[in-house]
Amino acid sequence: MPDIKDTVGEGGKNAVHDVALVQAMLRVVKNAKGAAYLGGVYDGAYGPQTKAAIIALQTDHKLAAAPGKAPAPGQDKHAIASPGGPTVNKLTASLPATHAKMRIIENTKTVYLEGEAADATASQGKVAAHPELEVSFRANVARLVELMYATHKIVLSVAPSGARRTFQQQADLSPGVTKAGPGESNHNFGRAVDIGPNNLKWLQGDGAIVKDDWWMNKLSKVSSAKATAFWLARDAVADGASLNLFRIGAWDRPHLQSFSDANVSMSRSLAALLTAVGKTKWVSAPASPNHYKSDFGLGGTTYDVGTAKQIWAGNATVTKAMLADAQSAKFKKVVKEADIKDADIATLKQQLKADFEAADAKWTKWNPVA
Amino acid sequence: MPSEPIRSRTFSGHLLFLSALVVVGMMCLAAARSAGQNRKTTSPSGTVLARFPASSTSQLTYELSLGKCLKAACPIQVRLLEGKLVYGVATLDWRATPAQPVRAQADASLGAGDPLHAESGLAAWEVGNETRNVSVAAQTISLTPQLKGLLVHQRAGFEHLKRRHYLFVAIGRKLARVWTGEEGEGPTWSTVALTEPQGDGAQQLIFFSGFRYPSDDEPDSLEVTTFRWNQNKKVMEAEPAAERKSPVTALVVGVYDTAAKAREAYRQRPECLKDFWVLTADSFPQIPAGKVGIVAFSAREAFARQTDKAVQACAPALKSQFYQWRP
Repeated sequence: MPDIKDTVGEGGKNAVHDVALVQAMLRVVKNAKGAAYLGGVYDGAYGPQTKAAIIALQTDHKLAAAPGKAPAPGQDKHAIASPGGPTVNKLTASLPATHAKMRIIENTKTVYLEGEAADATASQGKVAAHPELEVSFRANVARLVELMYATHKIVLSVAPSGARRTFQQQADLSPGVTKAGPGESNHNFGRAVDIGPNNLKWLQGDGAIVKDDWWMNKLSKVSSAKATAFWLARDAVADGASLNLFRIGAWDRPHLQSFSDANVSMSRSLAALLTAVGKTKWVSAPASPNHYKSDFGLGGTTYDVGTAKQIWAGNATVTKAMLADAQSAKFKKVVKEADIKDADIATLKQQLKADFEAADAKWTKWNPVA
Repeated sequence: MPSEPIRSRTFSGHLLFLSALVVVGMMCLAAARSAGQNRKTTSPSGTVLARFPASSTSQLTYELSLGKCLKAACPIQVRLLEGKLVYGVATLDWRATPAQPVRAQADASLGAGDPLHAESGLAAWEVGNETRNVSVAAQTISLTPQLKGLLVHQRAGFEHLKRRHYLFVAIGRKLARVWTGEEGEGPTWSTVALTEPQGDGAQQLIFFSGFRYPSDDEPDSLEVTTFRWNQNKKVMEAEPAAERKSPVTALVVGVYDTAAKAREAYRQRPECLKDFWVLTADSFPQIPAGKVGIVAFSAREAFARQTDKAVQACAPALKSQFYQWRP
C-alpha cells in the first residue's frame, strides 16, 4: 500500500517524494463525476492545485475536520494528508488495481509500481548461478538484486549481452558503442554486468503507466535527472551494503564491475593473459594506446602488431621486415626481408590470433594489471 | 622605456598617478558590474587547443582549451574572446584527467558529422587512456550570414562510449550554451550533421540519436531531429517537418517480418552494414507497419548513394531503396 513518510498539505512538511506520491494518487483517483481530483501533472511541488484536490477528496468523503477545528479521531486536519491517516488511506483504497502498488524513492519525483517478488527471486537466482560470472562477483550482484527489492521493491536484472561476452561478441559490437576490442572489455572475463530495472513501470505526469527497459530509456527521454535518480538509488544500495561493485565514472550507469579501474590497464591486463596462455610474449605498446607488441614466440624484441580488433580479425600489422629482424636475432644469422614469404606472414597472423583465441578460451585466468 | 618617466616622478607625482589609477579602476569596475556577464578580464587559460571566428563582422573568437586542473579533473572550456579580452567562459560537462592532450583525427565514434560520412578532417584531441579517455572536437556552424556558433563534440569512456554535443553562441558579447545533445544509458550512439548553407547562408543542425538494442527480438531505435537558429529569440529550435528544406535520405536494404529475421540478415554481412539500423515504423515511418527494416540515414543523398555502392559491392544480394524523409 502506498504511504507517505510525513505530512502533505497546507502547513505540512511537503517533502518532494511525499507530495509527488499524494499528487500521483490524486491524479488517478476520480470523484463522483468521474474526474480526477488533480488535473495537470504531478511534479512533487506543493501548491494551490494540490491543496484544492486534497480538500475536495476530504470533503467528498468527510475525512477531515472543518477548517481551523481540531480533527476528531479518525480524521485528518483540514487540507492535510498525514502518514497512515484517513486521507491517504482513502486514496490508496480508491486506486485502480493497475496503480495499487505505487511507490516512490525518498527525495525523488517519479512514482513507480512495485515489481513482483517472484521476479526478484528469479533474477537473483539467475545471477547467483550464472556460469560465466566470476564467483565472488556474481554473489555480490545477486545480493544487490536481493537488497534492491527489499529496499525499493525494484527488480534488477542483467541486460541482454550484459554479462560475459566472448571475444567474437566483443568484436561484433558497433564501434560507436565501445572502443574496447576483443579481450579489452571486463565483460570478456566475467567481471562486469550491465544491470538495470527492466520492465520498471513508472507513472508519467498524467498518471499513465509507462513500462521501461533495462536502461530507463523512456524515463531518460522525459528527464535524464529523473532516470539518474533510479541509478543513484541502486548505487546507494550497493554502496550501503559494501558490495564492492564499481562503476565506470558516469559514462554508463548500468555497468557495474568487480574492481575499480582507476589503476587498471585493460591492455596491459590482456597482454599479461595472452603471454600466460599463448605461445608468444605480449606487451601493450606504451606509445600507442591499445596497440599490442609480440615477440612472435622468438624470445627477442617485441613488435607492434596492431590493435586487438586487427589481431582478432586476422589482420595483425606484421611485416616481412619485422619477421626478418626477429628471425635474424633468434637464429644469429642474417635473414633478409626477401627471405620471408607471404605464407609466413599469413601463418604468423594466424599464430597471433591463436593466442587471442587461447585467451578467450581461458578467460578465467585473466587478472587486472595496473 | 615607457616605465622610465614614472620612475622619475616625485613622491607627490606617484600619489597623483596612483589616485588616478584608483579612480579609473573603480570606473572600470562599475562599468563591468553594469554590464553583468560582459565582464572583461584577461585571465590566462590553460592549454589552448584551437580558436574559431565567432562572427564575420567582428574580432570575436571562440577558444577551445584545456583549463587548469583542480585535483584530478581538468575542465575543458570554451571561451569567448576579443583579442586578449575574455567575455565568457563555459565548461563542458565532462572533465579530463590530468594528461597531455593528444591531437587526433575525428572518427565516427566521436559523433561529429554525417552518420555515413564522419568529419574525418576535423581536428580532435584525446586526453587520457581507456576508461579515463575524454575526447573533444569543435567546428563552426553558420547561424546567420554574420554569426557563427561553435559546435563542440565530446566523447568519453572506453568500455561504454558516450557522446555529448554542445552549441555555443556569442550573443552580443555574452557566451551562451544554446543547445546540448545527450545520450541515454546502454548501447547508445549519436552524431550531429550540418546541412549545406541555406539561401540566407545559415546551416541547420541534424541530431541523430540511436539505441542499438542488444538482443535479437527487439528493434533498435533512432531519432532524427533538425534544429535551426531563431535569431529573434536567440535560441535553437526544432524545425517542424513541414518547413524542412533539407530532407534526410534513408537507405533501406531489406524489410523483414520480425526483428529476429532482420538481425539474422544483418549478421550475414555485418561488415557491410556497420552503419545500418534495425528499425520499425516507430523510428522510420516508411517501414510498413508490423515489419522491420535494415536502414541507414544521411543528411546528404550523395553519402547515401556512396554507401549503397559500397553495400552492393560487399553484399550484392541486398536490394536498396531510397527515401527522402522529413522527420
